[in-house]
Amino acid sequence: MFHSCSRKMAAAALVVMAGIAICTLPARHMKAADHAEATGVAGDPGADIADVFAFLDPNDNSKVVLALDVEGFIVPSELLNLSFFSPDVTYRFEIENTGDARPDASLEVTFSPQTSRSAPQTATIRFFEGHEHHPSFQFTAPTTVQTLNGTPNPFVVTTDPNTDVSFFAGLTDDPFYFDIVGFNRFVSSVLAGSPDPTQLQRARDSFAGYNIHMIALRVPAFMLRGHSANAVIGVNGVTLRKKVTVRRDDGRKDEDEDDSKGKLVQVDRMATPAVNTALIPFPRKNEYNSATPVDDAAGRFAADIVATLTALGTNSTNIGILASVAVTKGDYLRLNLNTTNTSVGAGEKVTTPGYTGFPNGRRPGDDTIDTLLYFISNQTLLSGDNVNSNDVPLGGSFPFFAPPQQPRATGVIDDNTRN
Amino acid sequence: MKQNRWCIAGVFWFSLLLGCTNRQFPRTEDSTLSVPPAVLLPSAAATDAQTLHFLQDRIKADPDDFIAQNKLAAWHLQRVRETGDLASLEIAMKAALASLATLPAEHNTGALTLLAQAEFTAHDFIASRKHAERLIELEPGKGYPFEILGDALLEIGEYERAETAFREFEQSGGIQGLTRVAIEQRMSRLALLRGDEETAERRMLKALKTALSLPVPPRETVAWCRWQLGELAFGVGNYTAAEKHYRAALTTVPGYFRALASLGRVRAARGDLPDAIAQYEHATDIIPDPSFVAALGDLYKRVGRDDDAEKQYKLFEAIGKISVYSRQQALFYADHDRQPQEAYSIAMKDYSVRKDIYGADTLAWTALKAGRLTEAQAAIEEALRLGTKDAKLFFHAGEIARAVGDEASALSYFKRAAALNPEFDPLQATIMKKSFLKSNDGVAEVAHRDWAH
Repeated sequence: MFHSCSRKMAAAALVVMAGIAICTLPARHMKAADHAEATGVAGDPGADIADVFAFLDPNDNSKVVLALDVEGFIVPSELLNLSFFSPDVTYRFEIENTGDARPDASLEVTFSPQTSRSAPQTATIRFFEGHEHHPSFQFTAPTTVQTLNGTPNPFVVTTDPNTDVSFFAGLTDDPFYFDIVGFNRFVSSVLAGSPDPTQLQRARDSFAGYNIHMIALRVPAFMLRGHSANAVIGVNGVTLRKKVTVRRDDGRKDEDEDDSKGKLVQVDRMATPAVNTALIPFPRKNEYNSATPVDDAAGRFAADIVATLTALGTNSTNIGILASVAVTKGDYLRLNLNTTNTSVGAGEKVTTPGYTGFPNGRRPGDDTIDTLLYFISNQTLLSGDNVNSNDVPLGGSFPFFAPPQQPRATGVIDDNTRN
Repeated sequence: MKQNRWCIAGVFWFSLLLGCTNRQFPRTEDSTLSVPPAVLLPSAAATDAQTLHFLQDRIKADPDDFIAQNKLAAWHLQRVRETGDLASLEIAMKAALASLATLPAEHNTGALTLLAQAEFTAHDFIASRKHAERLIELEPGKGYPFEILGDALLEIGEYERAETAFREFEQSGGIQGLTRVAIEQRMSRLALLRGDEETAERRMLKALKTALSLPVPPRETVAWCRWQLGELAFGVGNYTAAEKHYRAALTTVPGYFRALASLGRVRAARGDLPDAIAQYEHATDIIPDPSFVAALGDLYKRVGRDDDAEKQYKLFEAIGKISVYSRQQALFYADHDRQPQEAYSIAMKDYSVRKDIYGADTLAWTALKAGRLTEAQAAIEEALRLGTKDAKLFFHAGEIARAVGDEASALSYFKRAAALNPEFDPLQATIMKKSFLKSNDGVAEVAHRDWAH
């Protein structure tokens, strides 16, 4: 099935030199004629972060909405079979609130195993301050169960009465929008020395019609601000798995060893969209995924990022702008808690009057691709990829994402890809 | 006096079994007790058609929708795996290529992965290897390209490199559950090829348990592991355990064609030819895989249904011409003493690109039938180079030894085959008995009577 890093990869289409890789990773091998080929697997979709969001609740700016999604490109008819969160993955939001690259708090979400497709999983939400090993608070909440009916089940939102923290986890419509193919062709034409803007006229949303696994929290802002007077917080999405000991054939390890006791290993991270996939060269992408914002701030990947942007013709001013987002203090989504927010974005981008979105945090509807392209093109390319909003309307209240796309009746053709 | 001879013969045959140093019985006939019980796993068939239509619609609206092309390729590759339907393989291949035409591999490793897997299924192992190597370049640090590379290398007989690739896969990709399943499956296969059945069984059992522990156990993967446990048990002559495993696979996925055919084979091994025929008929109704068709023909032959057998053989001839089945075609000809030169040519061609031990065995067997004894000797040596314990390999080695007049070696190989898995094939096991008897003139008659038990 699809590797959800395809999201990040998709964003990278606008910078072909850095390359994108749509990691469509099929689950297993096939029957052949005379050899008993084993089943196969590639990738780790349940732990591969597609996007991270951080924005002030437009209905109540005293609260911050944090969200990350994994394992996208779920066809509506697949939503029941794939409607579970991996119980062996830890989903973590790292929060930085002192202006450096080191995280100062974290929110972790884990899930119980799915026992039935008609029963919710139980999520456990824990908040850690500093480097404490014991959570400041924790609570549990159910996930939203999916259905194949024409109308989706309503989102199940749980609010912890002790902390006023709200939680949602379930499938939603994939909020990202972007024409991967059009952009790839356009950028190819640029690199070939003959820019062809007509390639951007396809205006097909490569993500329309698909669903994705979404985890969202609404947290009182003061909790994330911590003891700091700093108005800006950083948010970094991380997934971790427990490392297992590889058993050898010499019998040193029991075949039924308890994997649950393993040390947590970082599988993926994401904050600013497209940094890894667009700006980090192929040989270092995995290294980047397992690194930290502290590594970023120490300049571990700075030369690669600058080199990629330079190759794309980005000037030093705009390289500086992008570097300030993802390099100088580590790759965090930086959100100013004092900047009023009144919307979820809905097609807004950096050139929109009164814009308060990405790279100030990231709202579900922000046109991040157009914004990134604006800076990469030295603030000259204004029209972007002509995919200007999500294919379905976003929600008006927490979690603010659109309900999952349900299977269509036989004969009803999906053509939401064209906006 | 005659009764006394019977008694002596019984002791002789029993001593043959015990005296075979390579005999490695499965731990107990009840080894399946340690295997998790089988349950029916839910099928996604009801929604599969909807998924297919969704993807087809998207591609129809936008042929450059490479995401839909990739998903379509994956959908069809899974279908090939579950049903053996090669028509889906062609569609998968086209979809992967269309995706790559829209977005090149540098930006579309998913499509390249699918293409490499489709090539593997189509037995174009060289292309699969090449594309796996490209994936390693494009995705450094990722484990899955090594899985594909190792699979391809294994099929072309580069065992050391395959093991290195699997070790790399294990080191870089061993965290996620399904990856661990894939690793265990491959380590099991390597162990089996090297003659270590116990490790093979242990690792396949681990694969099964890991698959069952996943949030949603993948039904075909679970069935495949159970079927493989059956194959391992069958390979060492533990027919009771094998049958349990095959039936467990069929409980998991009713109508699982691999398990049905293997169940037919083990029923034949246990002497229930009518049921064996019924199982093979069921399997061939689902997918007329040439090996199933040939086996069904052989069973018909054994029960005197010569006309039915010939129909199956003709069907085999028609299907076997598909290039993906070339090795089976060569073996079929050799097994049935048909077109020996043609069989040898096919085997030679196959071996020119695929130098695995079973390719060497096919070459050896067909060379023998074509009267090329020197080549047969060299090839069977290659086939046995890993120390694989496979009754069919030993049978072929015995026949070749006998053909060159080395009766002692022939006897040794036949003993090993008989001790390991006396009913390894409905037709060939019978032939081996006759060959064995020729190598044991003094006890020919009694050994023949004793064989079946």
